[in-house]
Amino acid sequence: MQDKIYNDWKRSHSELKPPRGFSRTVMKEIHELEALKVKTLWGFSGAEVMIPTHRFARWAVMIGLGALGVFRISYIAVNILVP
Amino acid sequence: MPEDFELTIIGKVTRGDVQAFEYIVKKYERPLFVMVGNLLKYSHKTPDLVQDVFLSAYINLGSFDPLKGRFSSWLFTIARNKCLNEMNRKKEICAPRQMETIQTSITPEASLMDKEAFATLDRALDQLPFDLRSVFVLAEFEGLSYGEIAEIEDAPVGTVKSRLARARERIRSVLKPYKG
Repeated sequence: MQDKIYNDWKRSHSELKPPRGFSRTVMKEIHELEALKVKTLWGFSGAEVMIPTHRFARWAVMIGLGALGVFRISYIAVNILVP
Repeated sequence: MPEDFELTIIGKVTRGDVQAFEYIVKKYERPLFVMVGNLLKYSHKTPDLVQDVFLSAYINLGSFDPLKGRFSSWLFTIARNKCLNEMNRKKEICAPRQMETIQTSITPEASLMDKEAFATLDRALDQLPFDLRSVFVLAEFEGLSYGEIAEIEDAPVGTVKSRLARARERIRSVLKPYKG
């Protein structure tokens, strides 16, 4: 009796199945992953180009704002405070 | 030789034949569902986790060394580690899915008793520590050999045997009230 219950329970746990079309979904994901790896004209992948470009753009904006701030302060100092 | 054919497929994939990976997915989707679905609580997240295992395997296929072990063991190790990470992330011991009772009993009373016994066994499995549960799932639900389990668990065969014996003992001990 115990053996029968144990074996039936084991069998029920061994019968899990993936949903229909699961392998197709996985392959679609893999193809999308591959598409991201496609090399650009300069031999860099999309991610390799995007991340440094994004970082550079962020730094450029910060430096630009900083420069504007310095210009503004010097403008105020020269034209308003000094006279 | 199926294993040789598998290595040929892996070689094709690493050389850029993406579609060849479908053979791997079709061959291992069911065993991975059994493993992940029993190591973690079966839920809508199980397909995502199994998919994640395949994606990791695809990305790291170049690091697979056939001289170090079987491909199946390498793949199951990825799945085991993903399950362990998921469990640690959730900080909970996950229960396996409540499986439907297989209709093997003749009388309704016996069927009810089966359901109750299955639930008791599920709870016992749920209470096993991860290392015992992992060995138990690989041996009893996947039907893997001691050698294969030792490769996946990265443990000596003797350790696998003792873990499995302890897990079986704990699981079977809950069946004592069901003496027929």
